[in-house]
Amino acid sequence: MIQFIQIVFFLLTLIGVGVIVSTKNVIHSVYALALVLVSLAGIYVLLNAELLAIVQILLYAGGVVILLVFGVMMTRRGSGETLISESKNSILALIISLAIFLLLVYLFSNAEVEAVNISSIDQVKEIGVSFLTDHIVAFELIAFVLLVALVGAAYLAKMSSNE
Amino acid sequence: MLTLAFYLLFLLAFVVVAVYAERKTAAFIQNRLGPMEVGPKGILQTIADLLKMIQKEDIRANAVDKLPFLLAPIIVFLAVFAGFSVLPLNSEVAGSDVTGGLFLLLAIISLDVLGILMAGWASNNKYSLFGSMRSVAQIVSYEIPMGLSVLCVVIVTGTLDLQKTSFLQSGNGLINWNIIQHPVLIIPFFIFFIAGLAESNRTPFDLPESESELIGGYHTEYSGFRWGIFMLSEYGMMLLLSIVGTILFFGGWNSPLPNIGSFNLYEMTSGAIWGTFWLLFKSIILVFIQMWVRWTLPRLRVDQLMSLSWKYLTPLSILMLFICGIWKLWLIN
Amino acid sequence: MSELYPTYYLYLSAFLFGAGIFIVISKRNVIFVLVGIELILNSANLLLATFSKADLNGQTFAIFSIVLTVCEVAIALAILLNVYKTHRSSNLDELNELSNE
Repeated sequence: MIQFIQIVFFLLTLIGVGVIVSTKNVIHSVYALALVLVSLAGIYVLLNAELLAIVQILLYAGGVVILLVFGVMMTRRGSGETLISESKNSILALIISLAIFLLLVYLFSNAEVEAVNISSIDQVKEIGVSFLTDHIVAFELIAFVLLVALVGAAYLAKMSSNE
Repeated sequence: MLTLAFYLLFLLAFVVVAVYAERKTAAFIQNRLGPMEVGPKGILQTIADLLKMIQKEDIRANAVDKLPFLLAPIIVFLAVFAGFSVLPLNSEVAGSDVTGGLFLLLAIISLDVLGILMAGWASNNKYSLFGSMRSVAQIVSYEIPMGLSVLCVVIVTGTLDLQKTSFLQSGNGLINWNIIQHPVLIIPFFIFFIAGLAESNRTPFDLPESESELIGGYHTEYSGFRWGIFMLSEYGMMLLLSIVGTILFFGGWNSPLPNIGSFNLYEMTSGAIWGTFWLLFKSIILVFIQMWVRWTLPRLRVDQLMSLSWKYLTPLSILMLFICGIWKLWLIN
Repeated sequence: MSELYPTYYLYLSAFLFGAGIFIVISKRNVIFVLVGIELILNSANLLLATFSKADLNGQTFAIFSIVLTVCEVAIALAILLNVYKTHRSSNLDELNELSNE
């Protein structure tokens, strides 16, 4: 049963990546990215990373994808025009990405991943406690980075619509 | 699995009754009678509407994007219905066993924005695009006060699991409800209710589908049964947010009758079937309040809507978060 | 639960990385390149989640990485809006000068 669920999520991810790589329509690639992100959240659940899966759905699939669609909407030349993008240097890009993929596969073939059974820990509580004790500096810095990014993005977007 | 099957059947039956109830509520508020022809006092009106909708022609314009156009209503319905999986039914039948149940619910509800975007974009129609952009902006802006007000409850109860929240409110009936045990949760309840109205695109926030301005908003180009799926998801979202509000603030499946002296009213009205009855009864009262608000208040303009969320509800919910933290610290001491 | 095919998650992460690099190099539209960058970052997150042990460090760093990605996409799109206003094009081949005159 677990193997069946694993195979389903793997297949969904591969189909999504296949659509992104092969399509020329920008908005279809953003929809396929949403599919990839949600199926990755499913894979995180299979890896016993519950909080990460929920954060992935909330922020990535519910935030970044919407931002990208708004970006596509505001950079079209006219209404009713499907945004097509050609690709240059496909053969060179294919060679480079295949080389990197084979290198990584060779590196990973020697890795030993052991399965850890951690389903008895209350993960949300543990991660929350570790945010405020072990990783508190990173936590505060990220809050600051979020504030700066929010103010900066709002100001930049306002500048572009003011004239 | 049991909760999923139960909630699916209940949702379908609920929509049939809720459409009729809404038309009758609208009629009585507007001092007229409503549907009276089909069946005694118009009870079979929704069934007649369903039959009409199923046999309508599935119009599909030539210039639409085929696959996203067909998938959009299904994505909206799936996102709304997947949220039902973490809800408990009574003290024995809990939802799915996720530690962060409430968090998962909020995350999955935010996925229905994808379906609305796909519907508006694939329709290739100015009005659909405007409607869907407005709806997306509204839903995304009101997720923040909703999440923060739910977080106020989580601070006070200390758990994200909805079944544990219901267990913490059992005991002596009305007195043990969260909103009466911790009176600091009254304002978060109002924030949750208003944000919930905005999440399901109901008046006074129904600008995306306003019939008088945008024809139909993002479901202009949908006819027949696909439009029916959009309406089903809207009622489903209303029911989902009412059930979550009941569990968080009003005691979930606990009975509201207290034990007075030797009359063990609380014991007499608890159990498996009583628990389900109390949960659904309280949520249906909340749904009725939502319908009542729809036909009483006028619609908000787009800039009023956004300023309400960002300038009033979000600072207020951050302030309530602070006050709930102080309340919890005072309780611990 | 993850005793079955554990190294296949690593191969999936390598595949996502390769696909992301392919899209970043070959596509010419700015939004497409942003999609490719998302794929690369997700492959790193998957790697972090696979190797996280009982102290949940991998998960924590993956959450930090997701938050940083959201900030980066927001600012990238704000910059794109500004660039589109002056150059009227979001094709990377035509965006190689500062002003359009």
